[in-house]
Amino acid sequence: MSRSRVMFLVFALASIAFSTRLPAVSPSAARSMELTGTVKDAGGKPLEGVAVSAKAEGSSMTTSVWTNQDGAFAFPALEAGRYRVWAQAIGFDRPVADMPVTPGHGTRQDFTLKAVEIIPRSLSTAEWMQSLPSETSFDRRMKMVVLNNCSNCHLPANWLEKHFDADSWNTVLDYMEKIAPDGDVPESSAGDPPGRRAGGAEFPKGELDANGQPISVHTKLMRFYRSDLVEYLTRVAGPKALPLKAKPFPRPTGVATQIVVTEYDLPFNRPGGVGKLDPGTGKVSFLQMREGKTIVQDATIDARNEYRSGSDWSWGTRDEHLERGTHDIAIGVDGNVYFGMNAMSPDPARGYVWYSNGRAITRVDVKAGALKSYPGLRYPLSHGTQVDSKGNVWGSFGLGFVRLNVDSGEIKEFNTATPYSRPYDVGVDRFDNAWVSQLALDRLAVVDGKTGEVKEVALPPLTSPDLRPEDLEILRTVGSWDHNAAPGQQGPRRMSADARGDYVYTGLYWAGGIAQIDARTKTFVKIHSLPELRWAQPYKPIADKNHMVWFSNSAADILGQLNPNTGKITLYPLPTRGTNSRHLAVDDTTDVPTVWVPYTAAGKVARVQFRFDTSKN
Amino acid sequence: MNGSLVLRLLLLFLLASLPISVAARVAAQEEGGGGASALGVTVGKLQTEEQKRGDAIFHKNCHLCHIATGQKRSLKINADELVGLFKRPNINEQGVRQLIQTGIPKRMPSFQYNFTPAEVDDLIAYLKIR
Repeated sequence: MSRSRVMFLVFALASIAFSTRLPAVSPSAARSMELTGTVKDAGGKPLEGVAVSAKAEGSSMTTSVWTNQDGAFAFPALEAGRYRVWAQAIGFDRPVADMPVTPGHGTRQDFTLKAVEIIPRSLSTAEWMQSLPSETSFDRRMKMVVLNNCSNCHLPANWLEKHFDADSWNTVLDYMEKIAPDGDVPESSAGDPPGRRAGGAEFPKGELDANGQPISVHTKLMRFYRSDLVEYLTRVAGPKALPLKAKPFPRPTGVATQIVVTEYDLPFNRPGGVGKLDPGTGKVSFLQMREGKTIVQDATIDARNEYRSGSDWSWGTRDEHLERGTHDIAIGVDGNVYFGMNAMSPDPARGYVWYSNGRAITRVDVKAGALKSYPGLRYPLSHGTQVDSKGNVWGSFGLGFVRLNVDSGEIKEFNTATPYSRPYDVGVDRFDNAWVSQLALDRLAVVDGKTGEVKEVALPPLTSPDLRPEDLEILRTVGSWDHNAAPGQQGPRRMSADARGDYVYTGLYWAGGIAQIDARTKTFVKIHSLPELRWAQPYKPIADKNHMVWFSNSAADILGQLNPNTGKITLYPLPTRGTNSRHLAVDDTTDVPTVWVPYTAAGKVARVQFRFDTSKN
Repeated sequence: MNGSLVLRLLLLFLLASLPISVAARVAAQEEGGGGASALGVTVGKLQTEEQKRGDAIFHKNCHLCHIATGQKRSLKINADELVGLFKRPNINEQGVRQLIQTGIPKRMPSFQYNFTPAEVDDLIAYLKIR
């Protein structure tokens, strides 16, 4: 072989090796020829709604599609590489294939799925919760108590698979009584409230929590429900756990299968600062301020342990933040995904991404690649930022709202009408009214954009025949806070306003549903829900340019779409188990808006693209 | 005093002595990381499937007490991160297996109803490289 041929071969091999290590990602969701096939059951019947996922060797990106009513699937254009491809549906085995993919050449991969007994830990939290015993009023009540006291820090699907005796559950709850009240709102962005019910009287002095501090909402609720919880947990997750009648969600059908989800692995080790993900390559860098200058550091995305990735549902759900995913994200005008900081929001009109940073509000000037901080907050922001039409930045904090005038740097506070109402997230409507969700009150507060007047909009109470008089009494006298809530609380946690429309939306974390409020009249309109959402803990709702409302669900691995014109809710599957997806971002620059879903409990961010016009759904 | 009691007392002592350097490193990462409240620590390289499964089992079941955070330190919840566990004197596999089964009253829940024998094997394989 001549020297030039050897050099060519070396170059060609190096090119293939490089492209295998860092493939580009197709920006289009359109069906392509590279990888297609069908999925059938052992009897040869086509299976609809089966997730088929593909990951190239050495890549940090996983692409997933779902089978249609004929059992057929087709991936979008894929880069060259050696791919691992697997098909997955609850109640079936999970065959894995390994194959080379070459652009321009069709590769067909058919799967036959064998029916197997459902592995309980392959259920999402919402599926597991709806599978728990519901025959008695006590059991139905305890499902509410479990969700309202355990789920915010520990997805129930993670711990319902455990089996502890009463002594061990008591030991676990002893630790929870120490952890849950830690922090001090409004001094901290999270933690215990002052010793009183939100909007109510102070608790009697004298009783202390497990850390020796005056007792407050978290501890009061944990102590009130403790004996019932230990009895219930020892029965449903004890030495002799009840056999579970698994009730998974139905597999997706119709348009819910016509999506492409690209999951990007995030780096585990991070230098600090705000993360930036390039969706074209999957590369990640971090922007940080040092001595007044913005520095950018690239981060290496090391391969993760696949048993911890959530890609194999039989390995169940992990616990919270351990996998170093991200809670918040925002899409920059450069098309990159910014992630990893608190209270993130985009300002596409001015090319900024905003986030909170201790006692400062900070922005990324996306085009300049530069950070700028605006200090002067009296207290840290709680969880939200949003710009109004003039470019002022609104934020929520422990006592209400703040408004940053970006030109002057002035920060103005607006307190909620009811003190200590746990203002959580913030949104600004098209009239420049600013709203906060009051998690502990089941109300939203609104500052009138013209007059500065602050008022409240109440949500209707959650009613249930299974609530006992003592539950209603603890709801009335203690109520709720971040981690614990009396059953009967709706839990408006995250929210946003349709910046081009007339409505404000909030996810009802404890009750399951999306509440709609009219921004013109500042009145409650309706709660939208489905049975699947009861235990799904709907989280951040964001309206796209067509007024479709997209929402994440922290306890179910689904993305929701609410069409507020028709009231129709569509649930789209996410291909990872135990996502704990809380925040959300919508990219309106694509013809059909693209939705981005960050995973808090898996080290990934997902891009959800649609193969149909979602505005007509 | 029998062997298991000695082991329990030793582990109680170890639980009470926090590895400051690891905790400080985790706390420092938390401050800079934004959005992460509990982090894993660097451990030996996962090579076998047994170790990888054990890593997953550890991080689904043991992490709440055995990964330190700044918050736990401030609340005096002493977390032994079990790094280099099997390099410590007087630690043997049989004793660790027994402790996983029995737990420690009021300190550590008993996992006797949780793991299959194969899962305990995986967990031990992981702890040996942690």
